Amino acid sequence: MALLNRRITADVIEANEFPELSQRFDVMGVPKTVINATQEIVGAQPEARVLAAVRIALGGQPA
Amino acid sequence: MPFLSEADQDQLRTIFAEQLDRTVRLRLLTRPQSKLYIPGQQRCASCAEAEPFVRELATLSDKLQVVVHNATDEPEAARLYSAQGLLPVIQLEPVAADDPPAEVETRSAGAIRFVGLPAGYEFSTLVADIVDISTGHTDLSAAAQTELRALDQDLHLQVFVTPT
Repeated sequence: MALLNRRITADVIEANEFPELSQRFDVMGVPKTVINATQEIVGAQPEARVLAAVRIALGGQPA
Repeated sequence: MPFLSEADQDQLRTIFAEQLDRTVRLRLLTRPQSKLYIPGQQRCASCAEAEPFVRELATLSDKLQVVVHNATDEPEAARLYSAQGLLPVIQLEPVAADDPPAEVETRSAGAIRFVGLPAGYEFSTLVADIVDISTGHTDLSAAAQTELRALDQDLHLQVFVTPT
């Protein structure tokens, strides 16, 4: 996704190395994706589910 | 001591030779390990390995460039590339033909960054992302691409992973 738009930044974070950040976002299982620090997705999810979470994180309505 | 076995290096050389198109820059923000513990300074679990790891990877293709920033000596680079103060960060960037080499010239927006050393399974993610950045390939549907290209707000995705 980050390849498409310079406003998108994607971080792949090694959870074990950064326990404080992982605890802040309550990472219990991986992969866990946090979107703009507000929306969360656990596990590998279909594109539509990810986009819906992105829309909510950006203040819009889920499609 | 190398991180990758001879067989792994050969396999990666083949993958990079066959699949890389544009040059990709691996921009590393790290901090050389000190023998002293400095109070208040966040410890960096994998900083010692990060630079030799990235440099070894880059020896496997002439389409891989490495830029290393020392977060302590280069506060501007630390400000631009740090992920909430966490180290090390490996940022992947496509290199345009007319790009000025090496210096601090972009920020992290629009970037893919690996925070912490991408070991184990995450190494394959790193390799796949290098190929995608080099080729501009994406698995997203056309509709999703259109929607994301039109975004006019900042979007920050943090994917938490473990190396197993």
